[in-house]
Amino acid sequence: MATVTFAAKDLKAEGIDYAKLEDIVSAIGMSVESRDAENIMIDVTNNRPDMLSFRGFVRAVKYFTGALEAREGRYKLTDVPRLDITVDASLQKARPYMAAMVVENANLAGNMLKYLINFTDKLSDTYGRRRKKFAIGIHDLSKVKGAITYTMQKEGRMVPLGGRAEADLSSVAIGSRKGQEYAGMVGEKGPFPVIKDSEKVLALVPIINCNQTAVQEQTKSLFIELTGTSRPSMEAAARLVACSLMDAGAKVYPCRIKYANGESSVTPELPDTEMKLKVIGAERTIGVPLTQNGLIGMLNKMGYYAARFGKDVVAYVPPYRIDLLNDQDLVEDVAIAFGYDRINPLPVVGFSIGIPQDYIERERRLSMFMVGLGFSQALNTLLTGQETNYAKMGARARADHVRIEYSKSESATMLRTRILPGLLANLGAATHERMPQKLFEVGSVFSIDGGQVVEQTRMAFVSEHSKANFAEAKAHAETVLRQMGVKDFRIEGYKDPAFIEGRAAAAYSGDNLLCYFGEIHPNVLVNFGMEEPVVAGEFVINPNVKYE
Amino acid sequence: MHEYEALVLAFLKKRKSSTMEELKEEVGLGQDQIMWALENLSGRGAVKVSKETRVDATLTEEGERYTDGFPEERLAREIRKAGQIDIGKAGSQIAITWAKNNGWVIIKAGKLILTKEGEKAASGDSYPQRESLNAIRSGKAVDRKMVSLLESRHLIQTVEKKATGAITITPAGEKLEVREDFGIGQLSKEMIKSREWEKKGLRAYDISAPSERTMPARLHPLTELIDAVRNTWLRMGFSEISGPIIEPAFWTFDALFSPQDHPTREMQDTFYLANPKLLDVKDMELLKSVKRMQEKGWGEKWREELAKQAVLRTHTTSVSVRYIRRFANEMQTSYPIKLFSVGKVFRNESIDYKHVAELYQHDGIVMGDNLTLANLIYIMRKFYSALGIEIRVKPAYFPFVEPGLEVFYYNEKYKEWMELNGGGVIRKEITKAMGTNKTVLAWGGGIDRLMFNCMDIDSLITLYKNDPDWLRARSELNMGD
Repeated sequence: MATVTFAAKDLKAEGIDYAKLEDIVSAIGMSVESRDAENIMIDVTNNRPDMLSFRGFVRAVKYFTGALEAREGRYKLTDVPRLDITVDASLQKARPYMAAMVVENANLAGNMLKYLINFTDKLSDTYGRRRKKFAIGIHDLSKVKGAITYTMQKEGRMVPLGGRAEADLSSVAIGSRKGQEYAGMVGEKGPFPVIKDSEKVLALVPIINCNQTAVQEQTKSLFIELTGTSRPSMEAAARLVACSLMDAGAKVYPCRIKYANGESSVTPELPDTEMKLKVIGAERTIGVPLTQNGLIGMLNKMGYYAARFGKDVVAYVPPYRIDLLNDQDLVEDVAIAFGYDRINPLPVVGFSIGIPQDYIERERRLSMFMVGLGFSQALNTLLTGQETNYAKMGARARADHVRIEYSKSESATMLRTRILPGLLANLGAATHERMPQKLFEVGSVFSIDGGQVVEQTRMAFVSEHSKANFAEAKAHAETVLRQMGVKDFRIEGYKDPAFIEGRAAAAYSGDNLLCYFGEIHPNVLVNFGMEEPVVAGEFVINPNVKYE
Repeated sequence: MHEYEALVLAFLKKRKSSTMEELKEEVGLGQDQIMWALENLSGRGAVKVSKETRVDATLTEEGERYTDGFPEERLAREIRKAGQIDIGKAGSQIAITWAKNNGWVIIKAGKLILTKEGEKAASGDSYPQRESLNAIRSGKAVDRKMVSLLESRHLIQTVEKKATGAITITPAGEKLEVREDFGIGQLSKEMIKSREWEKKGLRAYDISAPSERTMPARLHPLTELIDAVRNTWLRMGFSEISGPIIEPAFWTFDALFSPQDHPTREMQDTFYLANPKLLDVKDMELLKSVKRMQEKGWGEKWREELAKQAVLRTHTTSVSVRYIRRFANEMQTSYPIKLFSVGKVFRNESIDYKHVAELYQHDGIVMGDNLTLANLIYIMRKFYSALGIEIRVKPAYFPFVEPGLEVFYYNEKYKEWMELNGGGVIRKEITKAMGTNKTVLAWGGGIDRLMFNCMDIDSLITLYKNDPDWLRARSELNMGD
């Protein structure tokens, strides 16, 4: 998602009812991030990059409100290419593709230049994946001299946009703010992909243009170039830019791109594409009755010219609708035009019985049992840090845990291997002194065994008060084991630095550890910031959780 | 004099001085009763109760990093090494601000230059802030001013703890007479048997005297909410499913038609695992069909090794899609199949007082024939109205559904529409890749955020603090009835 901001006065100048705009935006499937008397900020969803442009946004609103009528072939280009651009063979391994266009009679007055730059920046940021798939450069055509080439160059100088003096390409690549953002794609040492005219470097792509061809509000003739690694995305972006400028009254001329292997392509191409839509298909997806004429009207509302096709409909998809993969996407637009608020909700036909998951029901029964013993339920996060999971428990860090590759927080670098540390941290952070404080938690813990993740369900309890002692822990442990239906278990001494030696025990059935419990060591109490004795225990409820 | 007062006073006459803990244990009254008695007794000038407020401080993550040296100290050392430093190249603004405040540096023509004080600091002189920070770390007391200074720098967090200190009897209290002839107070087994009350009489109590607050043990409010959600789905005929939280990217992203270069797949947003790094997808036929779907849909080469990267699931839709695949292979099923799941999902967020990195989500699907967007809207309305929530539905975009929708409700407290969940008709590309020609309606959304509608909480962090007193004394969930 990306946001764009438009001025109320510009929207009003287009005849848009600013007061109703918020509802329209929401009905189209976008949302208004903020608005005031002067400006509106809109969240544009990833599938509609065309609406990142002021012209594209206005166009969609006007179609939707009936202020603009869809027609066929609105953007078709008939002129022969204005420029030939050669692409050097050296680009093949770096940024092989290019598209370009010439624009006459552009109107960039007022906010329009700002809107255009914002549009192309956001487009290459989102749809262009931070300029990796494509980047867009806009130049004043009158400042471009002679033949244009796209090539790789190790040495060379240019005046970067906004700069005054000439600088080495390498220092431009790493020196400027933009350079730091995008230099990773081309490296710092070169050779660098550049677009040149007969006199100078026009752009160090995908980083920055030269200053000489900078566009002003009064500029009328533009040269727009796109370079990239993904040809379909780059060409789609070229279509978006061209349509947006044409909607503002400019004339767009194609350019011919000549590749080193002899291939050549004319860009941009702006044909409508035909897409057939079955009336019954749309009905069956949306769940409302539709007619052929109704469907045509709704498609018009979404900017498609549409016509009858036998019993069904054919829609002419304008070249800026780059998100449509097939008729499912058209159906969504029909639903939007119909209005989600107006869809009559229908019950699903068919009998079914809802069956809960056994293990969740079992966990709830155990939880209610613990509540009955006077313990309140805690829910801690599965993510934790080594500090809490190991260090504060007096344990040395181990390697057999699920480790996060990159986390923004020290407290979320791994998945917990036991439940107790979280509960002790809860007690340590508690601000009041109403004793006793008793908590339990049922949940998952994770470890790695032989390269495989092992998920276990565990239950742990803690009890803090001035008289907490081993006998209490043992009483609870045995009560819980009996509740779990364990009849035969033996109790042995247990060694764990979290517990006082000689005051900790574990219950086993055969070789299987059922639980461990005891008095928490004062070192650990201090680590967690507790002042009263604490006894605790942790039970293995399910030693190996399997799904399906 | 009330019995409680008499009991406390009698005890204090023997001991002269005591503590709350001791009184509770020895006098046989509850805390609130003792507090009440003490209040009355100090009103009579019979006892003195000292109140203590203690400030407990702990280091924040940032504080921990500062224990070896503060950024301003490092800056001072750097300046000493270089003679002077360009203000633009001096790194953090924090360091400059504090170096200036401390009088360590002056700025001349855009350069930072050390003062005499600064020279001292750079040569490792003692720095009160660092020393105090280390003192706090080792649990020593530090002066109040320093505590609030360090707190304002977010290097420490403090908690105020109020406590009752020493309780002592005054000379006036010593003189006060303790009446002991009260009539029968607490009944005993013996008294009941011996009918002793007929002789001595049963004393009337002061019914305005305070009672001890009893504290129940309770389930966590999120569990109650999750069960309300589960029970609603179960009542609507949906069966419960679940799945692993550790998944290969395949089930979280690829199978759901998310392109491999989609921004949400970046490490900035998704938790990738270093151990285990990869998880296998054994269904070879499925790998092939997903590859086909991805390459046809996005026009880019699909890389199996990226799909095998282990992640913490970012949504429970991974569980839903696993079941679409499972039922696509089962011939004997009667449709529609109605399923839901509740589970944890993870986002790589910086954790602070407002943001958490893991949340609960619920997710569901209906799989069958003749299923429509109108059906999905019906399901959404019925589900939320069972929880007392009026919803609005609007169009929305998610890569795995078409058409897509989003469900909102109006939050009275915040006076704004809040998103509850997304949903839509699963794209045919996906159902086909999963091996079924059925239609699938799907949805998923956060459960934690529903809590804002059910309880008066300001932040989700409140839910995960597990403060025992809050857990015991919290209000009931408001389900709109």
